[in-house]
Amino acid sequence: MALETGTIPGPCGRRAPGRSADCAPGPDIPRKQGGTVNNARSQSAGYTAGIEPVRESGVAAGWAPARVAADAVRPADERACAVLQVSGLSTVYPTTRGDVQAVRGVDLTLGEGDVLAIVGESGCGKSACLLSIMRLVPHPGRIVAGSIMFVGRDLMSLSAREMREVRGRDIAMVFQDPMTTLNPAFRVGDQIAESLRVHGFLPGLPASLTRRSRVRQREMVIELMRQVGIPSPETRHLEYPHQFSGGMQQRVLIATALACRPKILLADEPTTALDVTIQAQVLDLMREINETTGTAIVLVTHDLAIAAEFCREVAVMYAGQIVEQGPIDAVLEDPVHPYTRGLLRSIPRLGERKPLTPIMGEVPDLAALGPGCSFAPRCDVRRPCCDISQPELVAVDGRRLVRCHARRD
Amino acid sequence: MRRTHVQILERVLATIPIALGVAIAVFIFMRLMPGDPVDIMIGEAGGVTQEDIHALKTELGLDQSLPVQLGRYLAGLVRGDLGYSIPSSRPVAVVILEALPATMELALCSLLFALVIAVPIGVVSAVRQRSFIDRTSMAASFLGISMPAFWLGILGIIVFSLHLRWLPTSGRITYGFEPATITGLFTVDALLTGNMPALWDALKHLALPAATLGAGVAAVVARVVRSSMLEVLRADYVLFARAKGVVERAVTIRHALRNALIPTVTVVGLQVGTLLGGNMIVESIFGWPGLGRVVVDAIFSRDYPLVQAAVMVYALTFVVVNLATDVLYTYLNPKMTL
Ligand SMILES: Nc1ncnc2c1ncn2[C@@H]1O[C@H](COP(=O)(O)OP(=O)(O)O)[C@@H](O)[C@H]1O
Ligand code: SF4
Ligand SMILES: [Mg+2]
Repeated sequence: MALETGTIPGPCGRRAPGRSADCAPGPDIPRKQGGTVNNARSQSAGYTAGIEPVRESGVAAGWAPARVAADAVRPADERACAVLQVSGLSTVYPTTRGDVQAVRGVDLTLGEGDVLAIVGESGCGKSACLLSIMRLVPHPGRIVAGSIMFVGRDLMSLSAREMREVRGRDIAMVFQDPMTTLNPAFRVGDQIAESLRVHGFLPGLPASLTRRSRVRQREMVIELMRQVGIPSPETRHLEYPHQFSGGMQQRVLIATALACRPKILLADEPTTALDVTIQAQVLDLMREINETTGTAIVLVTHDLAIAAEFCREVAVMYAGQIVEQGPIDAVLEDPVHPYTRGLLRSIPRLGERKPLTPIMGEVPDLAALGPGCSFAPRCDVRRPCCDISQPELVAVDGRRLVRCHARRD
Repeated sequence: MRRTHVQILERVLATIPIALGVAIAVFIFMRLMPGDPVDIMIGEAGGVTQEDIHALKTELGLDQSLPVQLGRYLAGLVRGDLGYSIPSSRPVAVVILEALPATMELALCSLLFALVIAVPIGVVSAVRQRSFIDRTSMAASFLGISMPAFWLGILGIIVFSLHLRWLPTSGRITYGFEPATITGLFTVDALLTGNMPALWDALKHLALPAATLGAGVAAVVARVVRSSMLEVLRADYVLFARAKGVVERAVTIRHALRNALIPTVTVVGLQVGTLLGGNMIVESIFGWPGLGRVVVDAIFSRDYPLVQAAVMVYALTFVVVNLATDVLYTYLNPKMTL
């Protein structure tokens, strides 16, 4: 186990230390459901072995080989050339109670091939943040401020048509519940093919009816399904979503999202609706895609353990803001923000019998935020100034950003 | 696939007891009405002796006890013998077959009219929820649901026939314009034979009755399409389609409407009941020579065999349409088998 994980040459150490179950987790590394993750991993090892040929013939060879090669030799510090740079992003949902401030001035930078986790309780604006990046905030919600730079282009300034070309081709997204995200009325293969067709990788409708293009569509779809590890894609591409299990549906979603080889995959709680075993398999698949194709991934989750498994950088979100951001091991070992600490205390850890303490209180009403720190009502180290002034996001010990008046400088 | 066929066969067999029930019910209801066919014929004729009446009743079998009459009627049904219309002495089957094409043409056109109007209105109203179009069309559909067909029909005649003189007040086609008979539906026959004057004339005659009969259906369907579109447009797969970069028109039609039609099909199937019921009224208002008018006349003259057979046609049509609806539903919704 340790050997297997340890020897995979992740480019610039993309695998966070302490991720493998046997890698002697530090005292603060959360272990989700103890040994379950461990079990899941050993099962998925066999699973991965089953699709090993894919890596050789499929992902590694056929799937953007140039990018893979470049990625492997790239020094770590070159990640500074950002594929995505979000600054000052603010999104509101107007309601009868007032504007729900779902995203409040979020800054994010994502280098090529990066894996970033956004963690936070439900309702703190994680989905709104991803949907804003896609400019798909559902009506009546709208982005009120900020810029979203994708490889030097501000997505906010694009026309609807230009934005549509970015979606699915440059930036793809998968959602939480694969059952409701796949269209129940269409065959799985056709849904994957649609992604290709929309962006011109397959001919459009009248031309797509010819025999040759049907054969080509079938080949491409089957290849994509094989790459995400769906068994017997030759027959399964003709099936409907309800004939797939949850984990296989999520693989279909990932195949659909990755069909056009986007530079960025936004994954909104992609494993929340799945069983623990299947969660690990889907995360493994995403990791494999990241490592072989260099697709940068933003993984949204409310589960710090998953972030710990998967990412090297984590941003903790609370009430629409990033409250702490930094390398995952630093944040886990030594959380600075009281909210991050609370999150960690509410997660079960391997080998510890300490009772779990959930964070007291509730997420504040985002339509009626006061002037002070939005975490103040739940904070156990609150100071007098916290109710009056909003803390800024400041660098702490050179490695990370924290938004708290009580931070150590 | 085979399973579906077996299920369809089962449904077809299940209509036999339904048909039997309908036959008995109509038989009983007709006998419950005061007066019998002979009384009514006599009342119109005058100068008839008691012996004549008795002879006529004997000839028609009306002197027998009710159970015997019912038994004869059912035995005839099984043999496919629908009997003879009492006032005209013509075979009931012939009378019905003559009237059927007119009724089918009217019903199909009404349904087509309703769908062509209602589906786009429902879609646009949902996509532009609370817009001017949405509010106007939903107000109109409220009127469409609450206005009785006879009132709408008379209003249409007054406005379009009497005042504007655009459309004829009654009938199926102007005398002399009839196209060669192929299907019996004038519009279809005119199209098939390329007889454009006949087509235009038939359409002008169809417009008012079809709109009158279809208005209620259109109103209901528009509402159903709108509400199921509103629901479907919020679905994750619609958002996912947008995230794939699918153009908005394709998102609305291919992803959303395709799913919104699933519940709509069921409602349309049930609305065919409205079409069948409304057609008696509308055919009477517009002098449309179809089954609806035949039934109304037959009821007034207590023409037992004709009423019984015609109602059976209505009932079977309803059953068949609902079966077709269910098949279509299965086809649209991959999750379902019948
Ligand atoms: N369509 C909407 N209308 C109004 N408020 C919304 C809507 N969608 C989300 N919100 C609100 O925006 C906030 C952030 O939601 P969301 O981004 O879904 O959170 P998360 O993904 O972190 O659970 C929540 O307070 C939620 O209630
Ligand atoms: S700013 Fe104040 S209230 Fe907010 S988290 Fe820090 S100490 Fe707690
Ligand atoms: Mg969410």
